[in-house]
Amino acid sequence: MPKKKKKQNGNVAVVPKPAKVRIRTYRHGLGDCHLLSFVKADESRFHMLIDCGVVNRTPDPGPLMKRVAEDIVRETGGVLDVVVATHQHTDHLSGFRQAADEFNNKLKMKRLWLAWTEDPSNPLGKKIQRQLVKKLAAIREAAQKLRRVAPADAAEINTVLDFFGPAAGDASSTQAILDSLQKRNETEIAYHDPGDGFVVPGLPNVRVYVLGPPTDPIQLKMVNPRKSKRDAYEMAEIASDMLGLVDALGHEGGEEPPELSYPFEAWYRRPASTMKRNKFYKEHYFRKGEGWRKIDNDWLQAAETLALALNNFTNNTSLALAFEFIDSGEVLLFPGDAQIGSWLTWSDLTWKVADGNGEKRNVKVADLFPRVVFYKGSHHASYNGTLTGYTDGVGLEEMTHRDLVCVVPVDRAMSKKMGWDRTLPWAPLLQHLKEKTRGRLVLTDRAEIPPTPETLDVKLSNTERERFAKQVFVTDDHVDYVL
Amino acid sequence: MAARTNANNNGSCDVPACSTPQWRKLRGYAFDPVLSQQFETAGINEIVFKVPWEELEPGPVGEYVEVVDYDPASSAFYDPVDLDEASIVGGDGLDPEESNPQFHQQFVYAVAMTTLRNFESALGRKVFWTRRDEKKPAGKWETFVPRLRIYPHAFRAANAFYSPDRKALLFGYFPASTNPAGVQLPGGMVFTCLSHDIIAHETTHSLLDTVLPRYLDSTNPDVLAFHEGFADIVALFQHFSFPEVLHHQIAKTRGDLASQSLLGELAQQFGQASGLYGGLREAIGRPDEKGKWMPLEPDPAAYEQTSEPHERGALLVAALFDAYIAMYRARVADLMRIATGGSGVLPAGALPADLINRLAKEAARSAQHLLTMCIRALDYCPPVDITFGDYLRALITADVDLVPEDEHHYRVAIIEAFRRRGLYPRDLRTLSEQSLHWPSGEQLDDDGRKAISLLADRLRPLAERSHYHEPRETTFEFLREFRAEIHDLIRPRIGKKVLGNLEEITGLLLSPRKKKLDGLEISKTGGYQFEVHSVRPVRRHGPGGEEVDNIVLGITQRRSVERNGTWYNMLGGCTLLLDLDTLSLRYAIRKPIADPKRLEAFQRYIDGDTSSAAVGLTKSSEPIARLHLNAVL
Repeated sequence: MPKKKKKQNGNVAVVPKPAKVRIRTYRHGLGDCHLLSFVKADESRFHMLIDCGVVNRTPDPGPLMKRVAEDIVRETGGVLDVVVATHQHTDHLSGFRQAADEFNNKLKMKRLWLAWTEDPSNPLGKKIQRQLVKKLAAIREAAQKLRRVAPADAAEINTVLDFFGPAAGDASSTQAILDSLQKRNETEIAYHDPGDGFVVPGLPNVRVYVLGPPTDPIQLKMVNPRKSKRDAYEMAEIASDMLGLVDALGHEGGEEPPELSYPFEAWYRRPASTMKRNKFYKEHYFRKGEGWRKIDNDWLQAAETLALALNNFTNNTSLALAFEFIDSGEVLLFPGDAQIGSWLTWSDLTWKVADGNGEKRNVKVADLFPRVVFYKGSHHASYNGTLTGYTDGVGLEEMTHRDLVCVVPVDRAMSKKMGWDRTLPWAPLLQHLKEKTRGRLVLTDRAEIPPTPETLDVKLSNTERERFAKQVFVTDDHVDYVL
Repeated sequence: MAARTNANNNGSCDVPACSTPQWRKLRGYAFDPVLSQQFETAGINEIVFKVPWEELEPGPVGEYVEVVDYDPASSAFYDPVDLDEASIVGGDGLDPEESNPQFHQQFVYAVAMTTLRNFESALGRKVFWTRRDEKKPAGKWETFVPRLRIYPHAFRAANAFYSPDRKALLFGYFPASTNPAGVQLPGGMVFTCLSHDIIAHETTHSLLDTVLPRYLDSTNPDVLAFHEGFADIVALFQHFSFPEVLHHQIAKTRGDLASQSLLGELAQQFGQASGLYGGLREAIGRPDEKGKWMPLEPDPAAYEQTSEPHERGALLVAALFDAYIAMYRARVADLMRIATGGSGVLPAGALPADLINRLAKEAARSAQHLLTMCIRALDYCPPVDITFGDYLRALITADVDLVPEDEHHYRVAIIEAFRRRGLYPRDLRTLSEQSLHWPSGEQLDDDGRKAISLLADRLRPLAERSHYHEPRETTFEFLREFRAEIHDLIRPRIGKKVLGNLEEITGLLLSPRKKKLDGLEISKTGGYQFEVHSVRPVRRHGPGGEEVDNIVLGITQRRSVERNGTWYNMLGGCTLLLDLDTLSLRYAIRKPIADPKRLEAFQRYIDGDTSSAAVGLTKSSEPIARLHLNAVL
C-alpha cells in the first residue's frame, strides 16, 4: 500500500466487548459494507458480511475497498460465516471484485444469502434477470447514440447505468460479481423468499425474518411515495416496462425490430431516408433555421426514464432482513436499498414462530418494528427508501423503541458530484430520522461531526446518554455499534 | 385542395356567409379508445368537435398549430392529412380509427383547437405562443412563433408533454401492459394522442405558459402543482362541456342524477388508460372494496401534508369539481321539481328523453361556465409565485368584475369548496367574498395616480389597435414595442418622487434605498432592475353590456438568493390591471420582492422540498416532461 495508514484515534481501544453483537459500518464512501459480529454462546464470534461496494464514480476505488477488505480479514480471522449480497448494484458489490485478492484468497465464505430474484431455478427470477440484461443493453445503446448529439443526456444516463457496472460479460459487472460469488466451492448458497423465518445455525439466539424482495413483480416496480396503495400499483404496472423503447433498441446484429412493435402497418410508414425531399416535411421538419424544434433524440432520452426505473426496480429486489434476539426481543433491521414497493408488502407477511416451549405463534412486521433498536437506513436515506406517512403500511413511524439508533451510509460530496444531492440523502427524511432516534442518527460521511452523548437531544435522559456512549463509536474508517 | 379553392372563390355564390363555413366539424373519440373497449358506452364513443373554420394546409397546418407526424423511434414519417379535401370535409373528418395515423393527426388538431378556442373566448383576446428568446450577437432577440407544433408520435413511453423550448407538444405511445388483470387491453398499443384529456391537458400547459410564463419556475410548492392542476381542470371541464359525454350516464343512473358518483365515475376514467393523471382520481374519490365508487371526504389538512405537484394539484381540481357539482345541482333543481311534480321522486321506468337532454345540457353548461371562469381568472393572478389562495382570490375578483350580483351563488360554492379542502390565503381574517376580492388600486396617492394615468393614457392606442384584424405577427411586434416603451416610461421616473406610493402599492422595488437589497441588481440608470414581461389587452362586455377596455401588465423582478452554496432565483413582481376608460389602477396583485416573509418562505421551500429536487429548482430543459415522469415512475 503506497498510502500511509492513518493513526487510529484513541477511542478505538475503548470499544467495549459486545454482549450480543457488534455492527461495523465502513465509512469508505457512497456504498454499503457492514460487518456484523455476533457473540456465540462460547464467546467466539459469528461473522456476517452484508454487502461490500462503493459507487463507480469514486476516484481510485481499488485501494479504498482493499483497505476495507483487509479490515474484514483482520476482524474475522479469514472466515465469514455468512455473506449477504442484497442486490445487483455496484455500491453494494464492487468491493468483492476490487478487493479480489482478499476475498478470493484470504477469506472463506461459509454461506451466501441471496434474494429469490437471483435464483436461477426460479422462473420469475430468471425472467427478471433476462429482462434486466435486455433492458440494460437497450439503455446502453441509447446512451451510445446520444453521446455525440446530446452529451449531457448521455452523461445522465451513464450516471444511472454506473450502478450496474460495465456491460454484462465484463468481469466487473454486478452480474458477473454475483455469478462469481455463487461459484465458490466452499460456499453454501441459500435464496430467500419473503416470509422465510429461521434461526441462524450456530446462533440459537438469533432469528432471521426475510421481509423482501416481494414476489409480486408489480410491487417490485413501485418506487414512489403515493398516498394510495392502489394507484401506485396501477402506475407501476403501466409505466415502467417501456417495452416499445426496448423493442426499438437493443436488438443485436442489425436484425429488424418485431413488426408488432411498430404503431402502424408498414404501408403507412415512410422511411426517413426518402422524406427529406418530401414537400411537406422539407417545409415543416427539415427546414433550415428550424432545427431547434426537432425531436430526433427525445425517444432516446426516454431511456433515462427506463434507466431510473430499472435502478429503482433493482433496489426493490434487495434482500431485506430483520434479525431478532430471541431472549431480549431486540431487532436489527437491514433492508438493503428497498424502496416503497417492497416496504408496502411487509405488512402482509406472517411468520409462524415456535417459542421455547414449543408453542406456535404468528409474528407480523408490526410486532417487529416497535422492537427495532438498530436501523440501517435504506437506500442512503433517499426520499423513497424509507416508508413514512402511509396509513396502510408499517414503516418508520412504527419504530418506536426508545433506544433506536440509525446508521446510514451516505456521501453527500459524492451525491453532489452525481447531481443527486437533493435526494440522496433527502434532508426531510434525515430530520425525521433525527427525531425518531432523538439525535442518535449516524451518517457515515464526513460532512458533519457525528453525534456524541453531549450533543444528543435534550430530551434524552442521562441513562440513555450513557447507553449511547457505550454503544456507538466512530473512527475515521468505520462506525461501530455495540449491543 | 380543390375543395378549398371552391370554398373560397366560389363566384356563383353571392351570399357572403356561404363563401366560407363558420365551423369545421371533425369526428373524434369521447373517451380514450382503449377504455371504450371495456366501457359500457363503447357504442356511443364518438363526438363531433366543432372548431372555427380556417384554411388548412395538409398536416393539418393552420394559423395556430401545425401537426408534424414524425415517429423517430420507428424511423418513420406518416403522410399528413388534408382536412380540406372534399371527401373529408363532407364526412365531418376521417372516421375515428386507431390504426390510421391520419385520424390521429385530425384528432390532435381538433382537441388542441377546441382548447385554444376556449382560451381565446374566455380571455377576450388572441393567443400568441410564448416568444422564442434567442441570444444573438446584437443581444437578446425575441422571435414570434406563429404555430404550436404538435408531434402525435414523438416517442415510445407513457408520457406526453409540452416543451417550452421547442413550443411543441410531444405525445408518446406504448404497448399496453401485458398483465391481463390490468386496466388496458393486454398487448394493444396505447396512444396518448387519442385521449381528449391528455391533449387538452398538454395544450393547456402551453396556453397557460403564454399568459403566465413564470409559472414554470417552481418557487413554492403550489406553482408547479398549479400548472398541473389547472391543466387537469381545463381538460376535465372541457370534456364535460360536451352534452353527449354526460348523456348516457345521466340516462343510466336515473333517479340519482345529482349524486357525486355519477360525475365522479366519469372523472375516474380520466386518463386511466395511460396511467397519467392518477392524482385527480385519487383526490375526488376511489372505488371501495366492492368496486363501488366512493367520494373522498375533503381533508383540510391534506394541503399542508401533500408536496408532490400532482397530488397537490389534484386538491385544486377536487375543490373545483366540488364547486361544479354544487353549480349543477342548483341549475337542475327546478327541472327536477317540474319532472317530479314537486315530489322529488321520479316515476319508475326509463327517464323521458327530453329530461335527459335537458339535464345533460345543464351539466354541460355548468362545465363550460366554470371553465370560462377558471381561464378568465388567469388575468387576475400574480405574475410569479402563485399559491392556491391567490388563485381563489383571482377567481372571485374576476367573476365579481363581470357579474357583480352572485345570483346563483356560484362564488359561494367555490369559496366553500376551497375552504373545505384547506385551499385559502393564510393572511386573511375571513373568507368572505369581500375579503377575498383583491384590494382595489384606490389607495394610490396623487402622485401615484398621476403616474398610472400617464401610463394608461399611453396604453390606450394599444387597446384600440390590438382589436384590429391584423396578422398575429403584426400585433405581436406591436406589443413587443409597447413593452419596451412602458419600461422606458417607468425607468426615468424612478427615485424622483414622481411615483408617489406606487412602489408601496405594487410591491415593486424600483428606487434604491439607503440599505441596498441583496441580490437585486441595479441597472445602469440607477434604478433596480425590472422586466415588463407581458402586456395583455382585454376587451370585455361589462355587466350592463358596455364595453370595458382593460390592460393587464405583468412586471417581474428577480433576486439572487444563496442557500447552502447554491444560488437560486427568487421572483417578485406585480400584475397591474389598468382601466383605460378612467385611466386608473383597478388592481395591483403583488408579490413584493423585498418582503422578508416571502424570502423566508422561499428559503424554507429550497431546504425542504422533495419533488422540486427532480423538477423545479434544478434547471431542466423539459420541465413538464420531468414533472409528468415523476408522477408516472
